[in-house]
Amino acid sequence: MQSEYANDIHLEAIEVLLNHILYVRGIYPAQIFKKRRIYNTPVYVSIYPPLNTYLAGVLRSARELLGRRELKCFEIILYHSENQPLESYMLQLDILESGAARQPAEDPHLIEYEQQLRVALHKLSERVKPLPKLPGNCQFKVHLHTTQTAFVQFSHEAQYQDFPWLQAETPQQMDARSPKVCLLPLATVDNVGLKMQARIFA
Amino acid sequence: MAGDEINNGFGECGYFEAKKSKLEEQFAAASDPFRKSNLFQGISIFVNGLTDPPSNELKQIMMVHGGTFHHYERSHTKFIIASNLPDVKVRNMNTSKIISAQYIVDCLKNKRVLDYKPYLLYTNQKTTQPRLVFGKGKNTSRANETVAVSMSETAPEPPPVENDLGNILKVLQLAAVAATSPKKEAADKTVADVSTLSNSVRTAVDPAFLGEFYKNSRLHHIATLGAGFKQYVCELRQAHGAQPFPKRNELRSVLTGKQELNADPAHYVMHIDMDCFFVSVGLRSHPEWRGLPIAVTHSKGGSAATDVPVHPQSDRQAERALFADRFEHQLHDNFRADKVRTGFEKKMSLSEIASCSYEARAKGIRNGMFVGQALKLCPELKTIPYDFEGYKEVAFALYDTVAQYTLNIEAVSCDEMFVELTDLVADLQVDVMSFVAHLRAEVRGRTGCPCSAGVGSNKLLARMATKKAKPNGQFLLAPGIDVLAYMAPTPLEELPGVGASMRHKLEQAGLRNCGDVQGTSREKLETLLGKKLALTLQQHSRGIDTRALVYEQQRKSVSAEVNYGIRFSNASECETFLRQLSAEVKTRLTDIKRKAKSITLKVMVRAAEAPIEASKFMGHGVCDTLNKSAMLQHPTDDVNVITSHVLKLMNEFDLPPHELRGIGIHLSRLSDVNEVKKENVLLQMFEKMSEKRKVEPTAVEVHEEPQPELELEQAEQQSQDDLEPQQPLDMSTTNTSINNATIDPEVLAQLPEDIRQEVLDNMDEHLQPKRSEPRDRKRRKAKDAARRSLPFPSAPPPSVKASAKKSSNGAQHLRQALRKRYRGGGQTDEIVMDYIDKVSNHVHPAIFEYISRPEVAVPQNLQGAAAAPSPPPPATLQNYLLGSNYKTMLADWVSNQRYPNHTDIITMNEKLAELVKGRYSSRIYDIMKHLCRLIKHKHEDICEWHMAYRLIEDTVQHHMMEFEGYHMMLAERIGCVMCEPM
Repeated sequence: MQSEYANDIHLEAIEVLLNHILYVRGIYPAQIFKKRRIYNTPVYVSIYPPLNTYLAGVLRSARELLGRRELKCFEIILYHSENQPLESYMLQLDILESGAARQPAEDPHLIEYEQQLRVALHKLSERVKPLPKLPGNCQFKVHLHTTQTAFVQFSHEAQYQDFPWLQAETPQQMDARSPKVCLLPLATVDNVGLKMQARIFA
Repeated sequence: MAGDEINNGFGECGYFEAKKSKLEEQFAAASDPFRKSNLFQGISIFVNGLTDPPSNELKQIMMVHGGTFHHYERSHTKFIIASNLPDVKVRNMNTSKIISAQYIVDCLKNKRVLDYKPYLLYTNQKTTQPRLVFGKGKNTSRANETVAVSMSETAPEPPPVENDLGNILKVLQLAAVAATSPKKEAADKTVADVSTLSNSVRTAVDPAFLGEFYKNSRLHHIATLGAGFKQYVCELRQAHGAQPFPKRNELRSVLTGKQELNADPAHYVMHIDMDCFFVSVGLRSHPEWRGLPIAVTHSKGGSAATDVPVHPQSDRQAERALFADRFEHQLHDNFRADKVRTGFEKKMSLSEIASCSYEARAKGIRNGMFVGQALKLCPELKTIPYDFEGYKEVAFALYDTVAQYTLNIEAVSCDEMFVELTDLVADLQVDVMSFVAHLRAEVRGRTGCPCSAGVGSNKLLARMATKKAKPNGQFLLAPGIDVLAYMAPTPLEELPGVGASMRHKLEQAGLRNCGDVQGTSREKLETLLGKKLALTLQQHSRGIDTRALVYEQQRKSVSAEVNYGIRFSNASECETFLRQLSAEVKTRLTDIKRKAKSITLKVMVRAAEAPIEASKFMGHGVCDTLNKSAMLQHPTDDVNVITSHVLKLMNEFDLPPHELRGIGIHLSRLSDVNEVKKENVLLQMFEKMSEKRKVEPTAVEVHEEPQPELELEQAEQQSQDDLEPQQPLDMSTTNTSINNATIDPEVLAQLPEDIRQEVLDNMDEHLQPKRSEPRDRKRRKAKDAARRSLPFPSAPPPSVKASAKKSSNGAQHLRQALRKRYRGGGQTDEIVMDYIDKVSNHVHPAIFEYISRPEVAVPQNLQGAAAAPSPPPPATLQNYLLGSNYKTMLADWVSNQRYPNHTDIITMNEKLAELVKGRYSSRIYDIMKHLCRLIKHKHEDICEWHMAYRLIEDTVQHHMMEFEGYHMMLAERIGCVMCEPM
């Protein structure tokens, strides 16, 4: 698996998970999602153009960072009012950085990889089910965890100027240890080096 | 303040105290010339507010009759006289000594110190409820004893109020004796009254009530004695086994030759019964009363029984009518109805007669009659108190006597039993009746009490024969006799299983005695009684009894019930009492080593139409009985479980506490406490798992020479025995005996962690002979060095033998790897090498695998940490929770144990902590969820499991917080209403 393919494959996984989370948490009405078969399993994917455009922008940036191996974590935050997140889904890619992911040679046809993603998707829906229902009018935003240099470099890239990123205001607060926050382990995809967890804010 | 007062010239107590004392002195001085009697000596009163007679008059009374009048309330004031007090004062004062002025007047009128209780102005009970005399019969019966004795009886557990009471009593007694000393007779009476007083005030609110109740309850004593003998027979039978009965031989020599051997081997059942048991036991100490009408009862008899203090609030007439009505119409028990009708005359004692002599019976007195009524029938009736110790002694003597000859005994009660004589008669070759006569004589000789015995071919006939034999006789219902004719005149209620209501039903149908039933068709009986009952009744009426003797009777239920003195004023008192009662019933349950599956709460509630206060002191009066029961999923003998269910049932009743008159807890569906206490199921499970994983256990023998120094090792082991009393010793002994140089893996697995480690460390010492001291020391050093880098498993090694499971090829390879490692570490030493060669024999395979894997694979923290005392064991290695079949394991654990084992929980916690450290949060989530669901499913009602789960959850959350900074989102909850704060 060559590196750029690998990135694309990972990105696809992120995209699918992102869509899936938006669907299962009911951020958007279920009507804008369409059932597609991905990884040999049904997955709901947005068909709402404005959302798709936005997601595309997010993913394009993520791809850039992925390619530079500078993306630590892809975080989807669901919130009702700004600065008061309700849930945050963290797709941690740090294992990817350390190169602990399996060698492509071991899984040349990505069968194992697909299996694990499928498991991850199902686990995700199953574990999210008992969570309390989100209030109406929830919104979501995406945080990309990266380094300062990567961020500076990235914001100067001309081709990403049309989809600008802002530095999150209070990254410390988000990371602060707090007994109010619960961790919900969601899935681990060893082959991709992807670990997914959700933080539920009480 | 205090300092000021010391110097003010009035002594330490201050001005006011001085004034009070002085007033008292003045009073004493002033009253001297007027003194007429010492009636109120030692009694001091303080009058609060307007009273009738007024304060001045009371003061004069006190002056004249030797009492003390306090102008201010003082700590030693005995009584506060008042007619009405504001709430504030009531709350501030000890209400137990506020009485109405009428008391003084009445005392004066009666010329003796009365029981002040009826005059109490404020009690913590409803004013309509009297504080009545507890254990009256017992106390009055020994009126000759000093009050001091009766006080010391109550001394152990008196609440502060009772201490006051004690003082009062002392004073009262003195006063009473002094006042009435000229008349001996009167003095006796007063002392009796005083002693009565000392034992009063016991309602179920009192924490010592339960103990006191059971000490005095006659039914309790009789019932426990009976149950005890059932148990006793079982024990005797077990202890006896198949030994012969030596007494039989003795008997043979006495009786043989006298009688012809009975040709046909008939079936003989003997029913032996003491004649008016309680009376004859009581008469042992009073032989001079033999031949007089005697009754055993709590009541003292004599004038006391016909003139008992009656609470003004109780309405005997109303209650009598109610009782009679109930007995007649609901229970169809005319006897009891009559008894109540005639027995509830005003002021007659309502104590029941437990047993009366034949002389008394001749006068028409029956067992169970009220004493008052009995005295009317036979004024010279002599009443004697219960003598529970005596009953026990005689009963044991009776059982022991019979048990010398045969153990085929079915205990019925303490003085009554069925004995199977068939085999005995066949063995002794004697006539059955001469044996019975011999036995009765022996019983008479040993106990001093007469007994009667009946012999028949079954239990029913034996009992019928006894009826004929009484008193002090024996009767054989010989096989030749016309049983039908014999049974015919027997009234139906004498048959077992026929009670008042059934008799009533049969009477309606015109059936009064066995003869009537014999002549009735089965069909008619079936329409009356139902199929099964009809069959038994018909058989019984014909003298046929299919019931076999039950020798080893198992208790089917355990219960504790109190229906005397139940007067609660609020729910918390009731709850406290229920807790006590639960504990009591639990004790009885554990005494017979059983567990119960069903809990029934029985409450007696004052019937709506009944007067609030019962005629019988603290009795339950006319009541409705309600039952509620709960089934447990698993048998239990845990007091907490019982209590919580009982409280729940009580809540379900939703009754006002003050209406309760009786409470009983019955445990039924008992089962044995037979399951073996499993030491640690989870550990065993882990062990099993690893055993399964063993590929091919090729036992490699540790090369072995004779072990000359094993004794020494044992001594060393002994020192460990302090920590672990049994297993290490076992181990060393097995080693000696089998001369097999391995440690029993199972024993090892049972050991506590630290000892196991030590044993494993020193294993070659234990198992190998020491060659020479210096070498040994060196070896030890080397070993220590090696140990430092050996992480020990927290799970038990499944098998030490299994350490050899690797094929020799693999082991070789590993040894080399190890050797290389140590060489690289600069510890090149021949001894180390030696040790490494042997290490595979002693170490858990997993550890061995771990320590001998390639350098690279060793986690960072281990590499540089040879000096670290105990590197955390890597989670991946032995944590079976990471295995794919953790679910089966959890299921095994949860479903195999009724209650979670503490060690299991700890193991579980350890394992989970490892997982947290290993960041297997996803698996932890799964485990916790699965565990929660399992517990919810299997142990819905066992709060111990719920607590265990919460404990485990807390540990996980704690570790999560420590390692991740967040708690884990565990959506699954036990949600038990019993133990979880909502």
